[in-house]
Amino acid sequence: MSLTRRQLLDQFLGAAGARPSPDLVHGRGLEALRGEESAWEGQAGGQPGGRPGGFQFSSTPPGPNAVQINSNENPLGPGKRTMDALYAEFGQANRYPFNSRLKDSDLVAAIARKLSVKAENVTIGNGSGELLRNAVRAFTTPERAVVGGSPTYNSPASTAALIGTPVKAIPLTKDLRLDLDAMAEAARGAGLLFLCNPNNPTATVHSAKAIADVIARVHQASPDTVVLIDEAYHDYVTDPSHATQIPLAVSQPNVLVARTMSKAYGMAGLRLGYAIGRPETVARLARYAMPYNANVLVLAAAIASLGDQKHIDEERARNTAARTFTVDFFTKAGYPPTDSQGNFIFVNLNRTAQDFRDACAKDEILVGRDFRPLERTHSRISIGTMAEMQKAVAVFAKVLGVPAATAARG
Amino acid sequence: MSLSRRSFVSTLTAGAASTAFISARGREGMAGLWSTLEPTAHAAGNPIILSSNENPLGAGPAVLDALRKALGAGGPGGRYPPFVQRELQEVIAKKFGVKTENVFVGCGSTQILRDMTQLFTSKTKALVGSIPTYEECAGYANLIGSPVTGVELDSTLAMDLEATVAAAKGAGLIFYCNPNNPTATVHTPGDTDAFIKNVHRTSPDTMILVDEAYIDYVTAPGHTSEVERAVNDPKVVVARTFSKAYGMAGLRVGYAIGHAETIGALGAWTRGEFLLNVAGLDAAIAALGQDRTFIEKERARNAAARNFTRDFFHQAGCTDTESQTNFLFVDVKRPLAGFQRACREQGVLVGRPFPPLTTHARISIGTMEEMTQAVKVFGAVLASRAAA
Repeated sequence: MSLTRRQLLDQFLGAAGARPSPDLVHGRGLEALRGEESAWEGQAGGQPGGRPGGFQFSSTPPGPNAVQINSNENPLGPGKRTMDALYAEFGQANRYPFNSRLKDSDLVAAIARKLSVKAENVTIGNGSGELLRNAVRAFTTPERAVVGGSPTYNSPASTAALIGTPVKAIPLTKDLRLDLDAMAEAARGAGLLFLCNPNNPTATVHSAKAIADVIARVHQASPDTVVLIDEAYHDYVTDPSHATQIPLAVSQPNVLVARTMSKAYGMAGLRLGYAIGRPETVARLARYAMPYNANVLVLAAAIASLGDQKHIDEERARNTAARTFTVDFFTKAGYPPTDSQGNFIFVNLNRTAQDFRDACAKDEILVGRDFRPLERTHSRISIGTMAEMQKAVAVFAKVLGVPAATAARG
Repeated sequence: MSLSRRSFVSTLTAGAASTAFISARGREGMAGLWSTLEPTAHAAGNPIILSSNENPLGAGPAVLDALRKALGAGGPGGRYPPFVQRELQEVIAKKFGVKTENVFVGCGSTQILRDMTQLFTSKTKALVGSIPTYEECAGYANLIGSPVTGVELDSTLAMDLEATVAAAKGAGLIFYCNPNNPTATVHTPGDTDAFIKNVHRTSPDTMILVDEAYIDYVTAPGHTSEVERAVNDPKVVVARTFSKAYGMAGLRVGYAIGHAETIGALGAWTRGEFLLNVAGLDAAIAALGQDRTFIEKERARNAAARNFTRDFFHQAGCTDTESQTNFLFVDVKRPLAGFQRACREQGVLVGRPFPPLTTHARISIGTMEEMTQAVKVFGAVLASRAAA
């Protein structure tokens, strides 16, 4: 890397321009801020409001007509049952989540019921983000690395950089899937192996058997390494070879599955995720949980959502249709995306993500950020509603210089 | 709580220190078990909850209306929260006449307390606080392996500022909870000013976190916030919460105000994380936007119910501190565990024990109706030999 640590810190602290003065820097947290860069995407991103390689948001909110297909959100948000439950709980807003009518333990029980596991197998988080960060804190040390793909969801690597945990970034295979063989090799002696399946940003998925095999292989050589499977996009997968690893997580030591309600459940703004594993693994993770990490309205909203599987099935179907439409457009235009199993696609457009993003933004189509080391060629585009994707595809056609008919036919 | 849980606590200052700073909850150490230590609301139908210093009336209908408007039928709840979060920062900055760079918002002040402990303590830079005080910082210091120095309260159960200054020499962070939870005592702005200046003189690198969670309930004349000082002093940060007078404990919104450098450090530690939910953010924006008499009315309502409850205890022969908060700290002259259990059996939940003050009860102030009911139970329990 060519950047000095000072420059990295400057980038890291970002647009606020607020940098601790040298005399302020004495806590180990601040010292860690000067530590290692995030490796999974090659270098620290440091964009305004963004952590290295994390989410990036402009300083101004998108306009009312903007098509927001940059953050893999559910364009419809939570369902009606969810919102009704949220509003109905408002009378409990003055109570901490242990005094309220519905308690955090009630949500844990609802999750356990839904997944046919025991409450002791479940811990909740403020989004799965909190769980991923805490997994790095709980299971890694300066001597025991975190292993992940490059690129993959960057949160664990960002946390590792903050606390001085080394990061082993394993390049993807040529077809932009996690290189499971190389990751298993690298995981020997590591603290944490992070398997994002489907992988963000590349949208690719591995079969249930392939994941189970790699877990077995890792634990044969390195039984203390915790394997964390991030199934954030599980509900959007249509490949029949995929299945959740929750049964394996509750039966084997040192395996955790992280889930989020930010995607198919449409609750990105409401901050609720959970992790599943054996009680002793879950307890190690939960040591780091922030008290009261789920708010009482969201407890009600999440419990209502979990009881509405039909809504999730409909959301999967809706996403699949809009995804197929979008993939068809790019394929016909000569830019075939990876086999997307998420609510986003990842596509080689033979131009920088920034060029494409800036060109689309002129027409209020907001697509994904840079994903190093593929930012010179690839863009990530989230799947909005069909109407949004029709609008977006027309702009994509213009930007790419392909006939509008291609878009119309899509 | 076993003594072994307190084994992390150091006793660095001769005379002033004790080993009980981390009192009963010890949440971090307890992993997933901590919530079971809270009184549960299952006793006898709907109990009167006087155990967690919540506003019994809640945030009010104007906030719910605003929330419905902001989140509508669902769409906005599906978006990540950074823009709403920014909006709340701006609203807070405007309210206090400070810049946005002076404001950090957190998932309750809980997050602020934890992040400050993360950033400003280390294995060689202790956390300093009184015994007992709100234990979030100490619990987190325990989790990350930072030493904790506890300073005993003075004879009036207020923080012993002189001993705290002495204990803080070379420390990383002082947790200055004013008014103090659980003792309900407050230090005057003059006391605080002298304290901070003394700390700066004797230990210039030590950060001071002033927790003003209960400031809206203070009725002592002339009491003021340390916000103005904090924006100009890189060694002072003020933490605030929407969990108390604003009635939003369940919505998880707090904030810190401080010098841009310090706030920037908090931002760096958490940048790119979304720990605030849009329901809480939109509610907080609406809460600050409503008529300022909301807080004045809540303060007056609380003061009346507080006076009523204090009068009862005084007549019952119990002594208390002069509460400046929405709870009392009262010596019930018997082991608290028994008092707490007896009250729970009669449908009133009071606070847990705060060692080493094991005969003191922390009793939150509910509505006047609730307190009228509750004092009957307190009277019965105090009269009963079994509870003694």
